[in-house]
Amino acid sequence: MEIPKEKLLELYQKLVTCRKVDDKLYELNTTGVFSGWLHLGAGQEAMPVAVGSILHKDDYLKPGRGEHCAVAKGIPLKSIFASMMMKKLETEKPESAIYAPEYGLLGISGSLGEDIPIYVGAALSSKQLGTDRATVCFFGDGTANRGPVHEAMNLAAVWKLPIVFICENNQYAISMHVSGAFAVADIADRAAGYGMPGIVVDGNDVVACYEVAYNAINIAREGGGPSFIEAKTYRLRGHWEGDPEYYRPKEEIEEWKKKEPLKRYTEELLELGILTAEDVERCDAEITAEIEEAVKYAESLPSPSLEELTETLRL
Amino acid sequence: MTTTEKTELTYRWAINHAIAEEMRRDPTVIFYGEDVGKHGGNFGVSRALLDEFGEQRVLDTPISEQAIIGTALGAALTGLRPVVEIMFAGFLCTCFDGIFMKLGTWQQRYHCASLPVVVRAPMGAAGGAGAEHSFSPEALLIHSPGLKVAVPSTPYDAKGLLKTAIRGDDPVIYLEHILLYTRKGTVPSEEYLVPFGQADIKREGKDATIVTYSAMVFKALAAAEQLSQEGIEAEVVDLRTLVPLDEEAILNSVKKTGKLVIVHEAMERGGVAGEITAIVADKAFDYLDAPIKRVAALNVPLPHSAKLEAMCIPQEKNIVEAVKSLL
Repeated sequence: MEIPKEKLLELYQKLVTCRKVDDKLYELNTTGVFSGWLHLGAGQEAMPVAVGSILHKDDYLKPGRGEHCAVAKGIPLKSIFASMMMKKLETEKPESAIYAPEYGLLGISGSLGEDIPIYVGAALSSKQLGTDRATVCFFGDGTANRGPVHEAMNLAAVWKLPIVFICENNQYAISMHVSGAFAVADIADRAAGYGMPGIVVDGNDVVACYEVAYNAINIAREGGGPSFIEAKTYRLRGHWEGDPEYYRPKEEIEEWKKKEPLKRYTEELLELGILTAEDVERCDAEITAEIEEAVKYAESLPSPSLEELTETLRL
Repeated sequence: MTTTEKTELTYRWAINHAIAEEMRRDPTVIFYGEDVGKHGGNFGVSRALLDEFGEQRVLDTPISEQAIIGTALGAALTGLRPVVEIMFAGFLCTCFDGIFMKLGTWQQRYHCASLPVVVRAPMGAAGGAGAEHSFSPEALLIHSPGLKVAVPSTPYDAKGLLKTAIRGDDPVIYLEHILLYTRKGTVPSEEYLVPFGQADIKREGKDATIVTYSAMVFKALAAAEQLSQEGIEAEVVDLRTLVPLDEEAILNSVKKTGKLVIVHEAMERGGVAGEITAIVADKAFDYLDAPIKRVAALNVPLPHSAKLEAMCIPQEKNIVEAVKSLL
């Protein structure tokens, strides 16, 4: 497929933003600016960026690892940083890196895979209410083995709902390598068992991700039912910040650093002449400034009071 | 003055009518679960709903409780008002993360004002169905910070509470006792609602208070009748909803009688009775003339035998004995 130049540049700009937000969160977490547990997603930006560049603002999106989906879907950076710091937003409407109804993010589950049925429910609403809102659900290889994922995918297929399931196979569920968790080489093989298309894609190739996601989202939106995409990728950091990573060799990480999506795409665009070295520098500076501004704003906000934490409880 | 038209309805049909009326009233109400459409529900509760509302709004699902609960939450966040059935309340344990950690916390976690989900589930010992099929899960549910829990006993309460639940903006677990489905009661012909958090004094009395709910209301009433023949007047307080709990009704009755027996079919340890005991000990200690008594099931999985099951759950005579032990 022919991807217009401005779309190619949007993909680049979003890749850079995702990586820089990830880096910034690492910095803020290690310097104690915020104290929550943190799962970063460097190396896995390509598919979220592709999907975020395809979906409409009000399409539903279940985020995967890191904050890439929130960034790529266009949730303001100030809201993302404020929510990571558990600050009180000045807006009336809730808007965070994981729950922002205006952007189609409906929340995520700490227990893996339990949120997949929730997003299938959003897809059910789209069908029942006759809207054209598509749903995309991200989850990892570890989550793919959870029961609710199976139930949700089957039900979505039976009801022919407008949804795309995207498994980001980063090859490790904390320490468990996919070879110990799956008896098949491709998780996408499971799609056949649900009666939906199963596609394997290089999850570090943003253009390839864009193409397969574009087709699957179109099929969903046009009433053709769900698809299952497996994006093969790799997380460049530990499962959490502080993970000693005894379970994987340093050489393996170094190998994958060479294949990481931002570096790869930047080189491609430079080679094609779509970007110049100056463009790269300028984009870098602009996004850095934008992030600094968002962080400064988030830091200036107050924390919610205990009363505000419990105000939605009506029982 | 107008006379109120009343009809005799079974508990089952009262529930059915509540769903049908709310589906007629609000096109965003949908109803789904296992065997609820063509089959009309495992206990016949949803008979005729598919015929009236069609496959668009009455959906049969595969055996996938986690998907049923999760999709209900997602649909409720995006414009629908799902009413779903889990075939047996014991099966709530198969989707407990969805029930407890999701339905019960989503509003608070994400500050979403509205999460209109009603989960209906038949519960209780019904003649030797075994551990899962007979389980009464309410103690697990009231521990949640965000779930409302309804436990109706009469057709009147069943219909009015369910309509309130469907119109409300909070997730509700609505527990129907299997043995009550065929029990008849009078229900007004015109529309009415029963509010949550308001207990109903099913029998007045001055000598002792029996706090109970669901099917045990009728054993408590039978026990009270028996006690009355011996000159002891027990007051029977039917809670109707466990969350919100009508503390005031409990405390007022205890202040009047000075004696409290709490009866439930669920197991005793960690049960609802323990929670009520703590509330009364805290807020009406000076009014108590005797210790608080719990009459509840043995701490066992209910056996797959009607005869053994009956030995494990409270019977009328246990309630009579408990009341007498306080006098």
